[in-house]
Amino acid sequence: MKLRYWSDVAQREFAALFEDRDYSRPFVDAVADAIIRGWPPNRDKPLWALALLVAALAATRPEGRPDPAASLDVLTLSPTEILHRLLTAEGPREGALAIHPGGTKVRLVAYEASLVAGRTRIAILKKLVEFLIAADGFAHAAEVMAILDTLADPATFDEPAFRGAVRALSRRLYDYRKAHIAEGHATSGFEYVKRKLGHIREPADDDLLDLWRAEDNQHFVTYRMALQTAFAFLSMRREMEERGHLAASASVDEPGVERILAAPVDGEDDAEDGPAGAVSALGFAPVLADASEETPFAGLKSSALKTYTQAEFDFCDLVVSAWPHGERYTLSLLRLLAFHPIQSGLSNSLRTGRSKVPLETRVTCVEAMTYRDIDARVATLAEKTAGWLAVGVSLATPDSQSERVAAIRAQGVAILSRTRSKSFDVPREALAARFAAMSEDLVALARLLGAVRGAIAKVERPPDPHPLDPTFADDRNVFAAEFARRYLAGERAHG
Amino acid sequence: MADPLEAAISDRIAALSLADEALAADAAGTIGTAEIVRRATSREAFEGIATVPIGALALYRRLRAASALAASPVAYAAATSTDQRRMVGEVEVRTASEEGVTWLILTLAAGAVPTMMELLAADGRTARLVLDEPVDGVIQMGLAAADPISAPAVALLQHPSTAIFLI
Repeated sequence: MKLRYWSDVAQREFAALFEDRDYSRPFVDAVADAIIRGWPPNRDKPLWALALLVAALAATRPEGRPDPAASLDVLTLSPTEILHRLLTAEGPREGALAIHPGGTKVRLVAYEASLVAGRTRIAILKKLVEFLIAADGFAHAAEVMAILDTLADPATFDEPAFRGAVRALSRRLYDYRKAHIAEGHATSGFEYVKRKLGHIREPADDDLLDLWRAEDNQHFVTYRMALQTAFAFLSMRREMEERGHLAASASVDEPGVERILAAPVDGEDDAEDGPAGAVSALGFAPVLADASEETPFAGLKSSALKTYTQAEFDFCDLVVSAWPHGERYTLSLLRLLAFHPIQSGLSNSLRTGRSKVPLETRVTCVEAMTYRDIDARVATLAEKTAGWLAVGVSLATPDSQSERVAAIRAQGVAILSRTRSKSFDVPREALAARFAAMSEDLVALARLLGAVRGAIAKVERPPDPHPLDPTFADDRNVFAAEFARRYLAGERAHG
Repeated sequence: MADPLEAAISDRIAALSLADEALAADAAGTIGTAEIVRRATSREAFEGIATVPIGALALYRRLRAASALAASPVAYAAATSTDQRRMVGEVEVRTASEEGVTWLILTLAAGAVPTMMELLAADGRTARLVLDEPVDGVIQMGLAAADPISAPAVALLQHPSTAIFLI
């Protein structure tokens, strides 16, 4: 059983996008999404955004004059440098192209298209253009560069050029997909999910697990992918039903109704994104809005302050990849957190031929975190996050207004005094500024971890209690058997 | 009629599987745009020959020219069958071949002093030479044909279609 959707070329070219440094898995997923799905509900939205970005970079060149190298800026500048230029340069505030800096994000507007971009979104757009250039062994690099040149030259940047650029780039992505994916396979993947889950109103955690472990699963190699597809299926189905109800109850003669129904349900920032009226026919709300917006905790990861370890970020990223669905499907989330790292390790050691632990041992999941471990880890992370929040308070409020604040301040001061990381050896003002920049992410992380703890606590309680220890033992047997079937059999066949 | 969920879920599967399969397969030597950009804007010396994929050559040339002090796409005059003379910006670049050694002579104009020369052949082969300090506005270096480090560069240097960048 060899499950694969994409050609060797596509697999290698996509992997090559992320060779320049370490990227988190949510970021890689967000780039794949931008290439394949766009930013739902609009498939072309990332391309509109890219066109805007290239034009805006040309309009904010420090030299202030047209330059043949202007179109190269999107390739040579880092996302941080790009954002800095757009936030600080004296770009046009009105006219065909307008640039509105605002805090940590910039808003770009041209020809009814607008984009709000922070550092992560810019990083995604950079990967998108890198992909367009390198696709099919750079076969279309000249065509793509010519399009960027048109966008970067004020003499040729007009509405037809802008729309034409997006259309041509969209065509490139369409052709690439057509050439490199087994489209029928993706469609039959959908048929499989529909066959398994279509008739179940409220699937249970075990139904989602079965999607992966079933004998007739020809579609999902990893439990993670099966779970994420299931979550996408469930939320899109609900979305469609809700729209259906609305449509059925509204008067067909009401002229405004259809437009309202087709309007994107989107984040505030996104509400005006994309060209007007370019909403896809179905108008799906972004099921994974996070994937297209800033990836979570971007501020924590990019901060110069070392607040969390890479392992802690990886753990949180995996939680986020299954959230908010994990709140309802907590057992599925626990399975993901415990066993996905094992499966990921298995496929790594098969690929590289290196492994700290022999394959035969690894498949037994002896390395897996138990559900009890996971619960403890979430608690530790929550405590650590509360501590960093206290540090932020202690730096931001020198005078204590109340006993409660004083207590938090004291806690923050104590944590700060025993923090040994060199990254904290900066003047107090700089430290305060860095904490202020992270505060939103810290609050988001604290909320998430609180919700995860609450959800895990519910797993053990009625009406459907699953005591953590025996449930983990049972699940480990299931995953171990499944891993042995998939990975050891393959080894023997090759050996 | 096709299920309206079909397109959306197929898309989701396509995106998830692209990331999954790529990370399991890895790049296996495939060069990405970021690597082309890094090489074309770097000032790192390297030994021997590196190769730029043909499709990426035009982009590489543009990036290199944008970050170089001076660039010259092709020689405008060949002094002899092997020796070259050309202007790279305002710098005159000449080669003079003797048995076993090729002399590289750069006559600098006023302005920034290049520390490295990059050679880019029409087939994507590229080499970098670390330049000596100039004496009275002239850099003169002997490149031994037997030297494994400079020999590939000499071969590129003697070809009139080789692009030269001073960085």
